[in-house]
Amino acid sequence: MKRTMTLNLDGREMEVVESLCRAKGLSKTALLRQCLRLYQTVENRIARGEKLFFEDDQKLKSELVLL
Amino acid sequence: MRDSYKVPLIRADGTKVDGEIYEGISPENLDDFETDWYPLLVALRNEAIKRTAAGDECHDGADYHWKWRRYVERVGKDLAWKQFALEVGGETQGLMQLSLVQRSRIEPGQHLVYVDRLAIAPWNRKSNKEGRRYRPVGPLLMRHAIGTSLSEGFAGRVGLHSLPGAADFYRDRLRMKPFGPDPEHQSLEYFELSAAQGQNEIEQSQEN
Repeated sequence: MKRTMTLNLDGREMEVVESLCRAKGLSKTALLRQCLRLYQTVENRIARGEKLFFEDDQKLKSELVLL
Repeated sequence: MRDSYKVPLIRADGTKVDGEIYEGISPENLDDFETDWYPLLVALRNEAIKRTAAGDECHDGADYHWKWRRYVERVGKDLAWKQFALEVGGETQGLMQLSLVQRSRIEPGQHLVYVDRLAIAPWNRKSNKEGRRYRPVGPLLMRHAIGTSLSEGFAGRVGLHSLPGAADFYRDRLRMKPFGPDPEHQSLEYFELSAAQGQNEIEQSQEN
């Protein structure tokens, strides 16, 4: 069953939402659902003791721990 | 209570029957897999090994080792995954697990639905000597994956790594774009359905 919530964002945050929606071809609802999935995925993996890295084109890894 | 969607199937004698695709895999689905599917899948696999050893390459039952109970336990409340079961008359005919946090190779940066696992009951496979009890279970589940891609806002994009025995179906029937064996995924071949193909597949199914 779907539930509805109201989300209050400031102007900059809403600009980011709208920009990402355009780039990804997603509605605001679909974008926020995807954000929630990705955030939960990261949290679950960190909770299991895993680390999250970004790798650049030189194959250098930087650890991301601030999510 | 699980959400469900009615789907049309055909029995071996050609008569029509309604099936239901349920969101979520129930304890009863898992019991069906372990009690009814598993012994037949092991037999299929053993037969395939014998045929392959005799020079007749055969991939039947390549999914026999999939631990559906473990996958259900692992997914729990993880929003990155969706699982589905196709039933007819309460009997499990197909199982599918989708990932919603993968990216497209055709359109880099765009999201897609990734078919992590799709399995159909051994009696619904082409290899069943008495003919498939119900069909087309696999295509209906694939169509449901495309529908999920549309409803999640992913425009119908679907990707998957195919077991060797199913690659022809994805390449020739669905005309998914082949990307060749993936060394990071047990060298299984990766296929992807574009947004246009996904939308076309759903439009065609609605016309039929």
